[in-house]
Amino acid sequence: MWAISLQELKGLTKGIRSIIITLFITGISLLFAYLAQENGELVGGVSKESAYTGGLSVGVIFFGILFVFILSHDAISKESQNRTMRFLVTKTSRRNILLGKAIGITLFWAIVVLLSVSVISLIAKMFFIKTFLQCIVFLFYGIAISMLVSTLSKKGSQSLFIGLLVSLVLPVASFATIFWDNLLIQWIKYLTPYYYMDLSVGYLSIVVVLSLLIFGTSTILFEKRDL
Amino acid sequence: MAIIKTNNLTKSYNHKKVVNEISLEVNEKEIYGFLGRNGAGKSTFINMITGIILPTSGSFELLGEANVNLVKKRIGVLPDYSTFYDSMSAIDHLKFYSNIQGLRPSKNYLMETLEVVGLTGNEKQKVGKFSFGMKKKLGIAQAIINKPELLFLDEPTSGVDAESAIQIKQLIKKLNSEGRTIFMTSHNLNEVEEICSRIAIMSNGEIRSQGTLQEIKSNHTNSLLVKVRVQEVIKDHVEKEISSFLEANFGKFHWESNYLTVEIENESEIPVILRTLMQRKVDVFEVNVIEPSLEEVFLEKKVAI
Repeated sequence: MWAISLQELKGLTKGIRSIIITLFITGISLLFAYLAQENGELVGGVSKESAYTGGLSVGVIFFGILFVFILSHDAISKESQNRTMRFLVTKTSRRNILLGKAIGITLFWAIVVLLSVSVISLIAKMFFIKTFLQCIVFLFYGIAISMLVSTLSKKGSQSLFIGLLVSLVLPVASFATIFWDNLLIQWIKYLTPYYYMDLSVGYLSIVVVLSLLIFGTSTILFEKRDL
Repeated sequence: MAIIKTNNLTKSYNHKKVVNEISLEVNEKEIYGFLGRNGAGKSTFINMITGIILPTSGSFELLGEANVNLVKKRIGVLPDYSTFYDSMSAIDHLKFYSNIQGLRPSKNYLMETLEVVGLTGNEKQKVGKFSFGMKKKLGIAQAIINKPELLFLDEPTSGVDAESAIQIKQLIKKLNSEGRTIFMTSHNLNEVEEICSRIAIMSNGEIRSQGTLQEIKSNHTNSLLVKVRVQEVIKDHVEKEISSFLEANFGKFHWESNYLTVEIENESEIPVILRTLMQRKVDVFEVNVIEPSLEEVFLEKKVAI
């Protein structure tokens, strides 16, 4: 399992897309932190943490799931399509393959977020643990959805298309719940991570549970699939 | 002890049975060959028992375990239609696949494994630049990297050059002599005949015949050919006498130069032929008993390869 995680992590760090996305998130974090530092008077009304970490939060909440899909939509589907999965599946259990991939992707994003938080911390001269946790948990949810889509898709192009669709529909549907009181729409907010980002850190555990449930579903589906 | 045991194993696609209720047992240290033409269901069967695809119905056990996940460290698999990561080298592949199973092989061991399959000198080359034959060899290397007790080889020599095919066959025999049980598929009659201790002939998802080479041959044809080399010149009346006797007792025979060939039902008839010749003072220099080849069995059963 750890070998698969390491392989996935290595693969992610090598790609040009990963570098661009990492630079974007770190850049936007750095920009917001710098603006917060330079314009102290604008910080009034919002907490110091929010002011400094605004860029990172915006980057992750608005683009996080999209970025996760861009990088990892084919974590499973590509291996199935190329039949490299056939060797893996004869070496270890399907659950281990899925778990290994998920851990590798999560580690990659943990590094990206840690890098951004570290940059902000250097400027603000304090470490923003809450933002770090929020971002990781939010992205963990995105990774879980991405694994589910990748497991269900037979081709990389299919998982990319569904992934892009999901990464657009999820935030739109979640923000729609702010403006509509309709009960049919309201339940959506409880199933997506956006709602919990504004609440206290403890509520992040709900997002973790939701993500684990999605992982569980992916595992069951993957175990029932011919490769 | 049965190392592989399947019970009515079936795989259907769109209600069509690709593998139809196959029950078989493979014993320890056997080389068991699955023979059949393309599309007979050989690969589907091997893919089911190695966990690549799921059976529609039926059950199986490998090394006494019904859960294939529990024995993956003890088996090695060369699946058909599988590919490697193009950007990784041969040695990196072996390292990666070993690590997945929790093994930490030394570089020397990895190099030795590559040497065994004839890939020395290509260890650092990207697999994307490998020929089909080289990829097949690497496929075998990854299958044996964990020193498996049970080895599955799906078409191990298909698509490789003659020299590599010979090397692979020698390797299979060597692995078997070291105590490994081998289950292989092939559509090559000669290959199966040469290296397998037991064979199953498969057609349209079903086993048509299984057993040792001898059993299969004797099940499908009762005839043996006895070819006798006799003296150069035989008097006409002697030849006529012998021919009359053979015609009355055996049916099919023919003379060609100084060779007499007779079709017999079983080996006990050989001395009768020899006595007939000797009683008429015909010198016998050589006797060959020719069994039907597996190919002839196939032709007889009309199971085209």
